[in-house]
Amino acid sequence: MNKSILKLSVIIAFIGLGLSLNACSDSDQQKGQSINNGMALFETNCSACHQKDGNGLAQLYPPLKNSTYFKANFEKLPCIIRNGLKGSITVNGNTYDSYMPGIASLSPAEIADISNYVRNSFNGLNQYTNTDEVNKTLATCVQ
Amino acid sequence: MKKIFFLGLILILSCTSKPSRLPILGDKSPIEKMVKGKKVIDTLYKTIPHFHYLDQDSLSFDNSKTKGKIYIADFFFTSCPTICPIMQKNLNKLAEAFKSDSDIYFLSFSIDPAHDTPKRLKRYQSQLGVHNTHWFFLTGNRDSTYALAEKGYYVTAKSDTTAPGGFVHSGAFILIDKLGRIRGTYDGTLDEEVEKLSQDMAILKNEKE
Repeated sequence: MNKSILKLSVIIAFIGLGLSLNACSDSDQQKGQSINNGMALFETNCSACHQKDGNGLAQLYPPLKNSTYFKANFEKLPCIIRNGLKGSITVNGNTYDSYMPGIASLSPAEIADISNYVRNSFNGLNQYTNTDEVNKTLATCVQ
Repeated sequence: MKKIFFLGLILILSCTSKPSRLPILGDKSPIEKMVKGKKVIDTLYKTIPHFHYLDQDSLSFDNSKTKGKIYIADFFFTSCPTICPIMQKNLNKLAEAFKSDSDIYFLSFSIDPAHDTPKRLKRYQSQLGVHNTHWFFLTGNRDSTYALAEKGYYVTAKSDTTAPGGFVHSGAFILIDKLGRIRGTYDGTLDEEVEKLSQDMAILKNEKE
């Protein structure tokens, strides 16, 4: 009887381990998919000004890649994407004061994808946001 | 004998071949004129109509300043979120390449004069990193600018509240010769067309009127 229970426990443990590993893979897959979606959305909506490589354009449009401003303000990105940005900012030691229009048509899910792309592919932050977090942030935007 | 004939033919053809010329675009009409006492029919080509603007230094700018100059014209606005960044980036590459040539001008007409004041255009010029002193950013009457774009340069430029930024306009670079005639239109967002424009500018420079 004890041997049977032991065998059953081992089997259940392995099943549990397998399920948890599978869950981790799904999460990594979701993160990867979000970044891929984000790249496509970035190229459509953001690259005209910030350029496909994220390096910005002269002193007109700031870089998003390896950006000191972004790293210090990444939580604000949903509000910036939704409502735009006015006023002077300093990025990597340079001052930019062009007006950035907001893109009201992007959904919270799309904003999350763009944010994940910029955080990870451009700034190596290894951070991920999701639609719920973006919705919470958007509710606090100051216009 | 055959070899001598063909060699001669090649020599004759090479001597009589003419350098390539760019086409003259736009409306044209026949015109009579006297040449060496004889009446001949020539062609009158459309030229860019009179315009008058302020440039980024708040100085008056009109066609008289382009007389005898080859220039590239485009239409844009400083808050444009779509095609203008790539257009102006590409135009700046050309402007940089030709910055030492005082016979080549660049004219960027703003289609949003309500916001694109000379001061704002001056700032834009600086932020874009423009070093060519013959690139003029022009602002003036909005409706006149729309009409100039459409009827003068044959490109689109107008308000459109449904468009990103509130305006719709062509991404074209228009090449104008020393007599104010349109000699080419190029998509300023495409590298290969900007390269073609650069080559055509060199051809135009070498043309004899």
